[in-house]
Amino acid sequence: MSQADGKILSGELAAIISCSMLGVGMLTLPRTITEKINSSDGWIVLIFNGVLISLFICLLIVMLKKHQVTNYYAYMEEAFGKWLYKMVGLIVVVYFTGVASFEVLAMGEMVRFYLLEETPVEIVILTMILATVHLLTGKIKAIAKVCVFFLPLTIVIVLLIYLLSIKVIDIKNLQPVLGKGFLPVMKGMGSGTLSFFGIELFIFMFGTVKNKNKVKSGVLIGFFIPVILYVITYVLVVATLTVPEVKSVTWPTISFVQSYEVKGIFIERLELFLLITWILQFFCTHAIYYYFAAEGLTEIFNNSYTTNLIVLVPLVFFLAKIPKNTIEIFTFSDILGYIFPFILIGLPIITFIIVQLKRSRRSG
Amino acid sequence: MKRLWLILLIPLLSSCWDSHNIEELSLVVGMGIDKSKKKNEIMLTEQILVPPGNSLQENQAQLKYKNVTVSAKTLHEAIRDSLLITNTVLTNHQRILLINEDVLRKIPMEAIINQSIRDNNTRRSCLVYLTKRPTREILGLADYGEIPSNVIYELKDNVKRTNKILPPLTLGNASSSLQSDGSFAIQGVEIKGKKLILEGAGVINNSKLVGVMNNEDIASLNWLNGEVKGGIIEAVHHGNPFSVEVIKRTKRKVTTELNGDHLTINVKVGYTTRLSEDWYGKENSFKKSYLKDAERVAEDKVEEDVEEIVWKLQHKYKTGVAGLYRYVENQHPKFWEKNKNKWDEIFSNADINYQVDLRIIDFGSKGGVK
Amino acid sequence: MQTKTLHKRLDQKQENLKSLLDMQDDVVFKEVFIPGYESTGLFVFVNGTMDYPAFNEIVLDLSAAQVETNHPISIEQLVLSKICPVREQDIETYEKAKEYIFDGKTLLFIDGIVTGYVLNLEKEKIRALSEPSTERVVRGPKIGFIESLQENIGLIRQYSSHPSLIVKQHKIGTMEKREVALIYYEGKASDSLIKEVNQRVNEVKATDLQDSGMLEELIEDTAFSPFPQIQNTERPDKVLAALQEGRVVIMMDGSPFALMAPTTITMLLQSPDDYYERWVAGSFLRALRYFSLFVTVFLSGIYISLVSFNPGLLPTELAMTIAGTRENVPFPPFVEAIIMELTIELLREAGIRLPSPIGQTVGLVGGVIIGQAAVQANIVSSLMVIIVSITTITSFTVPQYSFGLAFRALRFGAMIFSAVLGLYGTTLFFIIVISHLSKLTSFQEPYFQPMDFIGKKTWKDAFFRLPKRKKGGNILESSGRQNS
Repeated sequence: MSQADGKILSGELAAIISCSMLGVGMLTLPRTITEKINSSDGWIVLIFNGVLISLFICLLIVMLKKHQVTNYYAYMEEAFGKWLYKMVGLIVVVYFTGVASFEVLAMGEMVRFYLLEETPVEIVILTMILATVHLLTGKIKAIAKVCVFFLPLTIVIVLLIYLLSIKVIDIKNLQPVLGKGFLPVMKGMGSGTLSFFGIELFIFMFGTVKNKNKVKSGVLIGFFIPVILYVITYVLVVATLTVPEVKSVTWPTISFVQSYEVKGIFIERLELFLLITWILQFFCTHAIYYYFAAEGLTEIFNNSYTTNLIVLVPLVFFLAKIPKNTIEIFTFSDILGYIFPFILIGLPIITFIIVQLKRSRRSG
Repeated sequence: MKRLWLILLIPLLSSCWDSHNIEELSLVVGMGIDKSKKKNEIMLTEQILVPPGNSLQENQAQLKYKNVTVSAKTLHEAIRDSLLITNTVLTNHQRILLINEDVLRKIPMEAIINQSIRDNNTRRSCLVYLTKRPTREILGLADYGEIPSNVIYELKDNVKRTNKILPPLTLGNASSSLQSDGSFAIQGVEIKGKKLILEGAGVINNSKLVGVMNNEDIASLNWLNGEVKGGIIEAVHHGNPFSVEVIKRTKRKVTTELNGDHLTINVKVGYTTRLSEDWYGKENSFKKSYLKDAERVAEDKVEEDVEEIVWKLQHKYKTGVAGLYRYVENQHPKFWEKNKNKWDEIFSNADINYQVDLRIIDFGSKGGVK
Repeated sequence: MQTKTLHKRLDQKQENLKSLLDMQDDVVFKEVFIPGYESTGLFVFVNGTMDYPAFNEIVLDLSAAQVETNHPISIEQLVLSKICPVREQDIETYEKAKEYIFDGKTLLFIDGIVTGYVLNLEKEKIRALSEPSTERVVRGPKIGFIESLQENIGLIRQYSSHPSLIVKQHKIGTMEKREVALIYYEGKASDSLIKEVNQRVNEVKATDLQDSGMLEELIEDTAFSPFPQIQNTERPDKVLAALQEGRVVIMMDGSPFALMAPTTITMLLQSPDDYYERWVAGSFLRALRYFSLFVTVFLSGIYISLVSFNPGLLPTELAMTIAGTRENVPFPPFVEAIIMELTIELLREAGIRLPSPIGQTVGLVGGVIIGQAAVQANIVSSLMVIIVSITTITSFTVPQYSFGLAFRALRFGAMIFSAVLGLYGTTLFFIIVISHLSKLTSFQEPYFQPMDFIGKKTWKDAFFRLPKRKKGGNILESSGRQNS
């Protein structure tokens, strides 16, 4: 249980994965999915996506266990050789940096729109990055603890907000189920990948988990907490706002919370709580990706972790400054969405195959 | 690291960009939109709360609100123009939006509420009403120092007691409806005897006002929509009026049948009720048959009313305000997909059968035998 | 410095000692004549440290000594037999003699014998055991530690008779040597922890330590942190509970406060009567404490950010009320809050410094009158006064005073962040505090362990206190820290 050993428990692994998944995705997810499939069956898409990815996770864990991976970067080096490994590693780091700055940017946008209209977004972004650096000097163990603390807080508050929305829900808006047949659902399969960002990180955390036998349950629990939250969110938001309306608002989840008030309590306007918890979640997601970017740099260049933390500050900041308007922000997320399957699916499978071949040749 | 934080603190301490003190803001509780005398302009009336001063000596009645009226081409410009007159406007607390009938006849409703929906401040739970008189007059009605916006806002709670009020239409609902089929009814507000009352309603189709309804129509529409949550059915039996109070809905079933392109909609509803008043001298509520007769009379009355409103909807307004399209969409998705745009036409030609089943389960503390 | 050995003759000894101690007026030389042996003895001691009745007894014994004719014994044997109960050590040099004199011992020299005897006739100046003044409980033991280390250890030994309770004593300090005791259960406290504590205590280099609070700062992990990383207590029952949990207790002579390491936040928020009362009450109070911590730090910040940044998030009626109360106040909420919070802190500080009857009056009069007057003069709004009062009251619910102090200070941080960045600033400050806590360690153990709140076994005793029987009877077993 000592703080210094840098190992995490499976429960902490679950919390980290959940926290890294719950980010900007949850606030825009009803729109992105509904846009693609044009009906209220998005929750089926979510469940299907969830089941598919979780099956793939099981496969990945079997693969990682078979090769007894303790450090993924060393594993990649074994597969690709020294120089190619550095290339691939850098791509991974760039991706992590990209997601980190995208999350902080999305948070800046949300804060600007709902909380601080006139404050320069730069201040918001910079303060968040510095707070992250402050946390990250404590490495993975500190992140794990923050996640373990914020996750239940988020779940409880979000579920409470949802519970109070019962009055405005009209379940008729969700019908007909599969009214347009199964085809649009199949088509929508790939949509909403942004919501699943974060699951790929478990590959890189595999070595740090204390009890290897519990990795699978940890990852799956960590994966299904957000998926269940997503499904609930989707159902409630679409049931309240209707399909055409969901397609037309920028932040459907916040709009949904704004469409009702709870009378008689001190807390009448619940978006206050949604915004606060979501700043916490944005912070977690951002911090986790930031950590993996810094950690990746340390592995590749063998330099000090603290230096990398500080070097990344301007990188993340200026990356977050590139998109000029809302449309460009969504383009940013689309680009990241193309790399995501490569990191989650392509990279581990390729690495596995190469290492498998190399090892069998050596032994054979 | 420690020094970095200090550097950070310097710009932080120097400015607080967004700080506005609450007492220096204009808290808008209600807005009204009228047509301006100038062409192509709308006139916006904002009702702003005036916080009560905390000095105890003043006993004279202080007006709790003030109204600001400006004209401009768009709503947002009007709001910004109002800043020439009053403090920074805060619309987060806006409770009602009044729209004059003349405005809705000319300008699409979608355009009118566009700014409020798009804006990050106005909440989607703000209520929308229609007025025959200029909204300026309604918001300017000083009724014993009460704030008109709050009076209107609180009247909506009576929906459980009377069926002559439409269920409250929030900005969010309006926006959603406009996005989907664009036809719904909107509650009206009037001044009668220097009092604000909820009266009448407007029918919106394709973002435009196509007709107005009276209170009886509203009640009937509520019956058709299954939105009756309470209220009275008045009927006559044995030559004397009596009234039945609605307690609870027990069932509502809507089935749709397709015969080629011809649509038949069957609506079956059941309510438990209470015999709340009876002017008939020879009342005998302890007898089952007496209550059965009363039930039947009341049912006939409701069905008659509903038939009337269905006729009006089909032939006068030519639009399916009743939200019945949901059932068609759910039960015949393919048909709906094909004929989505012709819904008004299909609705106007459809057969709508309405059946109500009232059960008097209670006649109060008096059964009255003579 | 002279390391002269003692002379044989008494007058020489006296002369040498006197010249060695010439500046000290409180050193007393007393001669006693031993008639049976025709010899003289000399007592040397520092005035005021000695227990006179015990001294008298020895003097009487010596002067009444007769030479037994049947079994003649030497004068040395006689003296030794008479001083046996209080004799501590023998000395040979003047240097040693001086050291022992100032240590509060009494020296006895006999004419014709080189060796001097060190007698322990010390009278310890201690107060009687009384109820601990900083940690009161409604139900539970009412005894508290005092300033004497030996008495305190005795107190612990009295309640814990198990032989595996280990007491290790060190002397620390470069100039004044202080007795420090490490107490732990062998087998319960982990070896690495004992080693760590030992090492840190031995590395302390300080001229003098007046209280364990000074020791605490020298051995804790991060001295920069606002949070105390070592728990302190005046209560033996708390110490015993800590020992059972496998923690190491550090006690210092001269301080009634025992230090317990390692510490976690949950421990700082537990009060012993949580366990003495019924579980419902205990759980309720404990949950209340967590809530009040949050209120202490963030309520003023939330007020500032809601009133001056996001009034749109307030309920409409409340927004009206607040706008009404603030109508004539010339300051922004932040200045208003700072004025009131500082005033309250000043009153509190003044109340502690003043003698207790006056202190209470000042607190009451100051609070009521200043609050009332400030509202009437429109310096602050009435709601602000309520908020400040609430945050002050809640800050007192923390069982550990030093921990409460940390949160009182943090409140100002929250206010500054809120005043600059509104609700986002408040959230950011929350994040920073939690991040800091997550990084903090106490003797290499995590200080803040949120897993405790959701872990399978631990949550029953972290946020709530569920019945003991549900936890297998052992309320204090902490699963994480066990050696086994």
